[in-house]
Order: sequence, then structure tokens, then C-alpha cells
Amino acid sequence: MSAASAARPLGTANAGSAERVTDGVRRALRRVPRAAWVCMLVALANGLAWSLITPPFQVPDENAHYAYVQQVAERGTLPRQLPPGSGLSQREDRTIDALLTFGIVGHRENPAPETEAQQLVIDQIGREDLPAKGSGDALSATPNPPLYYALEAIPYKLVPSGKVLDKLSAMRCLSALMGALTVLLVFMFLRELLPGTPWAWPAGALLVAFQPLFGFMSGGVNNDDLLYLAAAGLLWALARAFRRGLTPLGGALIGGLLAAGLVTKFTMLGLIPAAALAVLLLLRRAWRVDRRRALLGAAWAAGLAGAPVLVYVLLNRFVWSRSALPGGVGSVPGAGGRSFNVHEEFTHVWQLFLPHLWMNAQFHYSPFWETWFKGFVGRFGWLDYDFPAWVYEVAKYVSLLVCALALGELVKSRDALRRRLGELSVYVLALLGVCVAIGVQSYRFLVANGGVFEQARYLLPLLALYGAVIALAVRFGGRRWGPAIGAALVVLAIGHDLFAQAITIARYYG
Amino acid sequence: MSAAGAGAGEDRRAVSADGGAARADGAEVAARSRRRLVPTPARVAAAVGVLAIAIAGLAVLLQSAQRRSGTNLTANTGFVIGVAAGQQLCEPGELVPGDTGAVRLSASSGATPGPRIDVAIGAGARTIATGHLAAGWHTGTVTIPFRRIAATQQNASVCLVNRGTSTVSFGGSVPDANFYVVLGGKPLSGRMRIEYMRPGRESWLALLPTLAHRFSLAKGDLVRHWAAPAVLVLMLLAIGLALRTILREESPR
Repeated sequence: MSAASAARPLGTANAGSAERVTDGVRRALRRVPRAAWVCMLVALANGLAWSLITPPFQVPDENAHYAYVQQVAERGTLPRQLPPGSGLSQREDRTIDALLTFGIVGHRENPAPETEAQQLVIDQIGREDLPAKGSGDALSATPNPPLYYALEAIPYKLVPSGKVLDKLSAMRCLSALMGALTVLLVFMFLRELLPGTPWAWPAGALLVAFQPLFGFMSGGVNNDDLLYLAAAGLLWALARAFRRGLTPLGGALIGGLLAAGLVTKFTMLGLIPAAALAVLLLLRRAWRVDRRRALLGAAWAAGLAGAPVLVYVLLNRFVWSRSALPGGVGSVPGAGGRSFNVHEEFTHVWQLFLPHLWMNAQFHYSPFWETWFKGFVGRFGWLDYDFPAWVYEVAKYVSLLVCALALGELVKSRDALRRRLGELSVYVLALLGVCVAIGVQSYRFLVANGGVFEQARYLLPLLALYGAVIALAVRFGGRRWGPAIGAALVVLAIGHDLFAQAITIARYYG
Repeated sequence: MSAAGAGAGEDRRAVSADGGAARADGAEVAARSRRRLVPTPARVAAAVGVLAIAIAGLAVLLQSAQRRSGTNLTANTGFVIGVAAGQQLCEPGELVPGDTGAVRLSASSGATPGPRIDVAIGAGARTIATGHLAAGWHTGTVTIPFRRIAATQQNASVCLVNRGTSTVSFGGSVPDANFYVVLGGKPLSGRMRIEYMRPGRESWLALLPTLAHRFSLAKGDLVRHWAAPAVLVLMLLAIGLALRTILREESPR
């Protein structure tokens, strides 16, 4: 080190490195294609439209997620599990009552408040100076990690009005922004995945942007929104590393995005095996060529993924008076004559997605069709309204056609696919991991509460893979017909989204 | 040549060059607009799709039916409130929305055609609307029309009289901890489900101003007064940008 640099004040050095980082970020942002920004804007507009269409607290568990944010913003602590009936803050509870929320939730025949007289009651609640601090309970959101809620506390605090509905509107805007960033990352994932087919990237990203369930969720306050963002980001970081090699920056992206997802919602655990496999494959690939850099990348990935989770566990245990992993993992005490059984858990997870084969049937319906397919095509509110039956039939044939085209493209590109088999196995493992994570939670919920846990929105962390299937289908058409397939699919997605918004308007305002 | 003349000469050259550039620009613009008009497969796909959406949207908007003005949010758990022949059932504490011209109920007369049912809507001691359902209806959803109630009535009562010779049952929820009905002069814990209907039939298109008004209710003050037009603008923006992006990708870079 030279005398001059040794004598340089620390502040100057820090300013220099901050400038380098800023420059790097600026350069990286400049490299993002214009079409990616436009797709992001499309998703933002769609998410904001959904946020205005869906009445307050009609997005699943929005009351619980709002309560969590309120706890973080008002008390600076995380919620704790309290005996049932402990209540939320008076301000939130009274607003929910005035909105007739639980007369509407689950009753598709009941619309949102439709008269000025009902509005006067809501206005009156807004004028009363009711306490915003609750019992500390956030219902079903209580066990969740805090990242999403900490971010949502920013719009909560920024809104000067003390009214619940004003704060909720601002919080929904942030969720819509998260949805938009998710679409940007899906675009970037497709760019890394199919670098030679730029005309397929917007089609994949736009189909995600107009996916009605995703739009509906992006318009509400729910920690799933940040989970989708983190998961799409992780898949982008993995694809990027497969294309450019495992570098310290690439490793930091993988670790950082994985950690962001883990401290948002534990469904992200399902993506750990895929990330770990990717890092191992990339290490193996770089072992003879650039071992040091790859090892550094792996260290960044592991360190950044692990550290925030460790801090979260320690804070839970020693600061926030919560159990180390609220909600827990592993077995749960049974209710209603049920008991936890590992074999039954395995068959439950299997049958949640696949035919039951020789196993004892655990479902009297086909979860693949009823829960996942129909749910993904569209089931909204607190799962209390959906499309007419013919829509799902049409969607089935469209989906089969798209899958056939995508499969055809994989067969056509089988030589390239053979070379990228490792990468493909990572994405397959990501799919399996998320399914297992959902299945395990589903079984735990069934044993502990005797209820149904699973909903199609839990699959949306895999939106980037959905975009990839679309992009492959578009690529199948080649340079001449591919854009036409892309345009047809985008217009179909627009129609699907508008239809979903129309049934939502009819449900709540008609 | 004077400096001025030289300058003028440069100006002329500039003018000529600009003219040439303008002609070149004009040709480029013309070529671009020709390219824009070429019906490529993607443009055809997009145009057909947008047209199909527009036609479907219009067909939905023109669908005509009797529309709801509100409900009393009561769950219909079955035909739980039986009204004997000649008996009166009154449901107090109802919020009757403005622009109501009928009530829609779930009613059962068993296997036989139902008798005449009279309805009276009261506000305080006044009866503000009366109507009846003619005999001969069948078990299921029935709509009883009456003169239009223009303004919202809070704490109104909805009374029904069974003018037949056998019992008629209505759908609702019994018991209901927070509500009661008065059946034959005696209180009964429960509530009949009532849907309030607007008078006549309307298309969704005709209902748009009402929908826009309903959109402005029960939302944050920050958004509620402009929510409906904002949704329209946001969706037009999203669709326009999406189509532009996907069609741009067709032309080689």
C-alpha cells in the first residue's frame, strides 16, 4: 500500500467505493433492455388497477398482514401468538366491521358496501381517534418472517392520515411495485435463459404481467408479493450464473435473493435445494478454470443466504419473545383424531400434485385440477368467486397447446438442452422443492387444524418458470411465426385478465 | 465574395441540404408507415384478438337484466322461516338502498304453486312502498316489485303477508344472535335474506355510472374519488404498452 493511500482518510475511501457501487448499479440498470422496463410498467399499471378494483381486506388474509405491518410500524416489534380472540387494534377491527368484511368474505352473493349510509359509518370510524396499537397478535400472519412487513411499514408511516383505508391504499401501491419488479426479473431471467431469442422475452414477461391471479395478489397487502419477487430474482440470478459463471457478484445475488425470500416467507425453503445444486454444478464447472473466483462466489452465496436467517432466528429468540422459528417445522400435534405420520405425509405431498396410484386416496377430488389448475386460471377473493366453468375447459386446451409447443421446442433444441442438462435439473428441482414445501405445510395444517391449506397462489414463486414455458412455446414458431404466437398469447392473456377484472367488479359492485 | 455573400451561400447550401434531409425524412416516414400497414402474422393475431375482446366486452356490456341495489348480507342457510297462512312476517332494522324497486327472496311453497304474497316497506310509522307477488309462483327465487324507493332508508322494516291457505317458507338464517324478525306478532331470533333490486332491466352499460359511484365507496380517501377512471386509464396504458412491445419484437433489430 502506498503512503498516499494509507494516509487517505477513511471517509474518502468509503465515498469512493460507494461511488463505484453507484456507478456499477447505474451501468447494470442501463444494460436492462427497454422492453423489460415497459413490461415492468405494464405489470405496475395492472397491479395498481387490481389494487383499486379489489375492495379493502378482500385479498386473502389482508387483515392479518395489515395487523403485522401495524405492529411493526406502531410498536417497532413483531407480533406474537396470543390466545384466540385477543383482537387486532381497535382502529383496524372497527374499520373491518364498518366495511362489513366478514359478511362479504366467503359469500359471493354479498357485494361490498353500496350506499352512502354505509360510507358515513366508515367515515365516522375514520374520524374517531381509535387506538392503532393492538394486542400484538397478527392472526395467520404472526409466524411470518418480517422483511415484507418492515418494507410495508414505510408507506404506512409515510401516509399522514391515521385512517386504516388510506394506509392500506398506500401499502397496496408498494405491493404493486413488487409485482412490477417481479415481472422485470422474469424478463431478465428469460434473457439469460434464451439469449438468442430476444423476441420471446417480452411474450413470457407479459404473460406473467397479465396473469390474473398474480395481478390480484399484486394489488393486495400480502407477504407473498415479496416472495414472488425474491423467487423470480433467485431464478434470474441462477440463470445468470449458468451463463456467466459463478463470480462473487453472482454468488452475492444468489445468496442475497435467497435470504430476502427466506426472511419473507418460509416457502422459500423449497428453493434452497435448487440454489445449492446450482452452486455445486457451477463450482464443478469452474474447478479447473477459475476455482478461486467460483469459491468466492459460493462463499458469498452461502454467507449472504445464511446470515440474515441466523440473525432472524436469534432476534426471535432473544429480542422479540417469539419461538426461534415461529410456526415451526417438522411434526405437529394432531387435532380431531389425527396424528402426524411420516408415511402419510409423503403420500399427502405426492397426491397433492400427482395421481394417487397405488396409495390410499387422501383427496376426494383432484387437487391438480381443482386446486392448482383452476386456481391458477383464476379463483379470487378469499377463494369465494371464480370464472364460469367453460373458462377452465378452454384454458385446459390452451394450456395443453402451449405445453405441446414448449415441449416441441425442447425436442427441437435437444442438443443445446443436453449441454444444459445441469441447469435444467436446477429448474426442475426448484419446481419440486416449492411443491414439497407447500405439501409439507399442507399436511401440517391438515393434522393440526383439520383444514385445507393449499391455494394456487402458493405456486406463484415459480412465475419465472411459467414465463419460460411461454417463451419456449413462442420460440417454437421460429423467427417468422414466433412473434405471431407471442402476440396471440399476449392478447389472450389481456382478455383473460380483463375477464377476471370484470367478474371481480360484478362480484363486489354489481 | 464578401463574408456576407459567403455566409448566404452557406445558408443556401444548408437550405438545400436540409431540403434533401427533409425529403429523405419524408421518404423514411412514408416507408415506415407502409411497413406499419403491412399485415404481418403478429399484427393479424393481435388485431383479431383485440377485436374479439372488444366484441366480447361489448356483448357483456349490453347484457340486460334486473340489477341489484344491495343486500342485507344475511346467509341463506335454507328455508328456515315459515309463515303460516294469513300470518305476517316483519323484518326490522333493514337498510333499503336508494333506487330500489323490488325485493328478491328465496321462497318455498313446497310442491304446489305459491299463494299471493304482499310486501310493505315501512320507515318509522310510514309505509313508503307496497307491492305483491301474484299467486302461482314456484319454489326458488322470487322477485316482488313495488314503487321505486328513491332515497336510502335506514332502519326500515320489510313486512310480508302470506295471503294463501298454506305455509310459505323463506330463506335466511335462524337463529341469528344479532337480529330478530317479528312473526305473527312474536319476535324470532333470525333474519330473512333480502336482495334489493333496482326497478326494471338494465344493461351493464346503463349501470356504469352507478358502478362508478359504488367504486367510490368503502375505499381510502386517497383513492376513492378517482378509482374508477384510474382503473380505465391504467388498463388502457397496460394494454397499449403491451401490444406496442410485442409488435415491435416482430421487426428484426
